[in-house]
Amino acid sequence: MATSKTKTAAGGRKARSAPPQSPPPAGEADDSGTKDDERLAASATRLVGQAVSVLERELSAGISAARSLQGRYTDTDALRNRDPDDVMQRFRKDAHEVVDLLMDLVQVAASSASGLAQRAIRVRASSDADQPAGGGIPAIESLGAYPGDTIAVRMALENAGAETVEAVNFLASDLVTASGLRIAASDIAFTPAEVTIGPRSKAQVEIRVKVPSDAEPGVYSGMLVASKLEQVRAVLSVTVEKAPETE
Amino acid sequence: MTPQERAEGVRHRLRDYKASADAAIARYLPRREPARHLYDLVRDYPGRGGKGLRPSLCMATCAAFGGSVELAARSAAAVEMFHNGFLIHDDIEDESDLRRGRPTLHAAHGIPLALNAGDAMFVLSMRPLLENLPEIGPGLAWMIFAEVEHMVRESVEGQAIELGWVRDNPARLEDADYFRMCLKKTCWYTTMHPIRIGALIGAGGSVPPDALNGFGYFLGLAFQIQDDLLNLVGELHKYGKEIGGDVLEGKRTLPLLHLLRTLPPARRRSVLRYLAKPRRRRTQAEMALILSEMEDFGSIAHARQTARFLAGAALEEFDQVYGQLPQSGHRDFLRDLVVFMIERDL
Repeated sequence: MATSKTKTAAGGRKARSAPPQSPPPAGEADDSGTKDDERLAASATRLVGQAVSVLERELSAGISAARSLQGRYTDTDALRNRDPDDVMQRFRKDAHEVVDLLMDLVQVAASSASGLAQRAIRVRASSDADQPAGGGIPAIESLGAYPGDTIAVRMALENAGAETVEAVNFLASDLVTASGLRIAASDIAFTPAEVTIGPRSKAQVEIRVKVPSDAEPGVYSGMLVASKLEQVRAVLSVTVEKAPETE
Repeated sequence: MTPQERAEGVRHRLRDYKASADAAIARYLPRREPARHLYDLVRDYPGRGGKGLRPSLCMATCAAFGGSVELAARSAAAVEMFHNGFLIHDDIEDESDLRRGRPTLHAAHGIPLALNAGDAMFVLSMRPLLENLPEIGPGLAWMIFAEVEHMVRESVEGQAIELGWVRDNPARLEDADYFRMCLKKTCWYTTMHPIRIGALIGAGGSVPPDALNGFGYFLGLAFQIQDDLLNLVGELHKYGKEIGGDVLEGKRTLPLLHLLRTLPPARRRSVLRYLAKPRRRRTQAEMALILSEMEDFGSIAHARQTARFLAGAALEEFDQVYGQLPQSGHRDFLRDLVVFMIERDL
């Protein structure tokens, strides 16, 4: 945004107001020499700078969230000219689109947190039904793997509660692609197989996925769940790439 | 072109845009029963002839970005209808007696009917947004709806901040506090969202609306400060509200904040005591004294100067963002509006 330029000129964020002073009424400032000119410029810089920093703080909180939703549409110049006949049709499908959006947001959040394992999954001892799920379903993604590889992804777990979470183990579903290709659940293993997490502490579990040597390229996704902890769920995605040509 | 000619050009264009918006609004204000207790009241404020600033910004921006005035007419109508709903409720909240030179809606009809008319206005504003769908397509229509949702939410939050200040009487507020309140109460719905909506429609969603925030924000701040000044030192027959009304209402305007920071302690305490009283017990004599102190202590000058600085910032933003657009009367109107905003006397 072009305002950032102005902000830099203002010399940093929210300076406290200088002691109040009565500025000369505008129009009289012209004939009173360079000093007044400088004071006027400083005063303008300070006030506009304050205004800019107020805007920027408000913006970063609110509008950016809205924009990530809107981003889906910004390159569609033809939207305006869409055939009105399919308009109502599209609105009936809205429920599906909302689901898509939520999944998109989860993925955006996960991929932007550069270290994938840094996103801790919250666990707690009691399956407190009143407790909101909070933050959606975490996504765990591996970097690319070749057929025949075994890849390892670390999953961070955090027990924010006051009770120990005992002897949890994990289950994975088959990982599937959109076209129905599959990596079987039996090719997915967890180390350690069972984990106990004390109150307000963290643990790590390594997820190992053995990619079959005949696996086709694609993004394979499935669910992870924890035994005894219904609220702990994550989406695991593994991207299989075409194996490099061997000489 | 002389400044007077520019101002006349702006007035002329405002009238044109407003006529298009009024025609659109008229389609959404029912003429049916209950007329005497509802729809006559609903049609009252839109018929009193405001400046039409919000719809003008929306439609001019749409046209400047390659669309047309007509394409933005529904969205502009919705924004203006929301604005009129806010005005009805604001007048109740502020206990104002006059609006555009005539009794406020609740002064004329009582609070219950006026409140309900405001509610009706909000609901009626939904319809043009729904009817955007076949005109601009579902993607854009949805984006505009999201814009309006954000606009209304910011406005009620800003209003809450201002009313909270009036009630709780904080002793010291900085200009930055005022800017924040003003961003939320005024800028989003007076300038920023009308501009964003116009650009989205005009460019078919291909312009990131955040790029336009700076221009709208500075313009909106300058507008609000000028509005506050006119309330303090304007002429009743032009301005149409009580002169000094903001002081009587205890509104935290830029000049009042400056005065509170500048007055000697004893006098400052007495102004704070005045502000702590219920509105009906604040006297005209006290108000007149505060007004004259605002002149004497440079508070009016401070606000005038701040408005000019902000107008300068708005012009700079304008040149950066709108500078790339092809020359058009719509684009020139938007630039000339900046100076008009701080020079206007109504």
